[in-house]
Amino acid sequence: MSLPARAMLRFVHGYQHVFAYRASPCRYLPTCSNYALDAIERHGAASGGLMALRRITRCHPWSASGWDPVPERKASGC
Amino acid sequence: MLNGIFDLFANVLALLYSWIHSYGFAITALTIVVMLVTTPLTYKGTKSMLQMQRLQPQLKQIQTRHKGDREKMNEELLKFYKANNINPVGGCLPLVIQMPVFFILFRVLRGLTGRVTNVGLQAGLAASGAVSAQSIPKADDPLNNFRPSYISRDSQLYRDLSGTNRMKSWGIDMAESASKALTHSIGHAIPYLLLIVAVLVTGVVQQRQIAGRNTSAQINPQQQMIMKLMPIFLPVFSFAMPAGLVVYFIVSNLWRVGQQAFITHKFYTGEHSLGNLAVAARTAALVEVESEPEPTEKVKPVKGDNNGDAAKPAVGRNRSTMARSSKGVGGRLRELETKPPDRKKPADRKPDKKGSSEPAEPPKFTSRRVTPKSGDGKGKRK
Repeated sequence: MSLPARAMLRFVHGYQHVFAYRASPCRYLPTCSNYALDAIERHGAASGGLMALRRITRCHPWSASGWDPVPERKASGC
Repeated sequence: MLNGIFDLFANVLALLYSWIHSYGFAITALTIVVMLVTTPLTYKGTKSMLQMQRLQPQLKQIQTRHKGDREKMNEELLKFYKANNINPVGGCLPLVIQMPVFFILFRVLRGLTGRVTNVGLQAGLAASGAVSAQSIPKADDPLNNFRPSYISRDSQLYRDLSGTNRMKSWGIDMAESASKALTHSIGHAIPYLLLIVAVLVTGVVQQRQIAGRNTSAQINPQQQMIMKLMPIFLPVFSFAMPAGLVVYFIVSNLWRVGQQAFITHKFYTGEHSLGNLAVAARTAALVEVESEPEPTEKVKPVKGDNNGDAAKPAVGRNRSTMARSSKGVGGRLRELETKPPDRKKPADRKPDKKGSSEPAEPPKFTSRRVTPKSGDGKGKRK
């Protein structure tokens, strides 16, 4: 795994640790941070990171909710 | 677009200042406006999250039943939400957007109290011999008056700021940081340091409130450490920040203390309160995981843990690293049991894999995500 990808994973892990005390605000399953970890692990820093960003931008009160895993291929996700 | 946001904040501040005529109270009022906007979202978001946590066992069942069939799963989930009156109100985006408010305020304060002088004109005059070169003022000379950006020249705030070189309120220059004040004298820095103490105290109170909600006594030491250290970050950071921003930190901390007290009162009072039911559901789900035998060869027990969680299955791609960092894993699992409103609930994590690359995984649990790969648990911010 590339260095940026590893750094990003560490960042998300750090976020999860720091904010572990409160309920997840996420409306999706898996939550945005778990989605980000999965996306970066599977699709790398650039595509995975972009997928994670896109996921966060659609995680707002006027969007859908429910089951939304990381797509198998980059193409279907981005 | 960013400039539009700065303009918006600066103009709201200018409006508030035109009513209040105090920089300190205007910043306080601006903070209250920001918090007023975000509070309903926080409240409703917490409620829907707790509702979802309470129904976690059922949610997990749905996910297990329909794994691999994304459409069916979604359909069932939505049906389940509807039947149980769950309406996910919040979202991650509103929260992410809130985070840089301090940065916006920082920029606005810097913009309002910027000092741009007619250096060019002075230099020209000096070159032509009209004035001496020594008399050219430096752009950031603290003796120069402010040249506020972002706000209209007609506003009261602009007029008042441009007529002075200090953003004085409560005996403090709102544009000066504690570290800078310390370079003058300790006596001069005392009010700035008091502000920082206020950030620390309000932060500690907030942390105590949240910790007090976790009625179970056992919390993983690493998590406990983070909880204890959290209120220290902001005061340290505040040292280098202008006092106006520190006022924002204090007021928002105070607001959150009130907000947390309300949420505790509303959701965590009584045995059958939503918060406590959510904790119970979560604990039950974890106990179930614990009692389950290893379903496949993918599951490995974590060795070397001394807090009784060692027998729990560690599932996922990172299982080898998890096993290595036994402390982190065991501690984290313990924490999952004891912390009610935790994001890393089992139902969240397990489905990551389903219907994707590892369909043979066991249905239950879990926390592979939570353990940093190197096992030290110190997530790095980029």
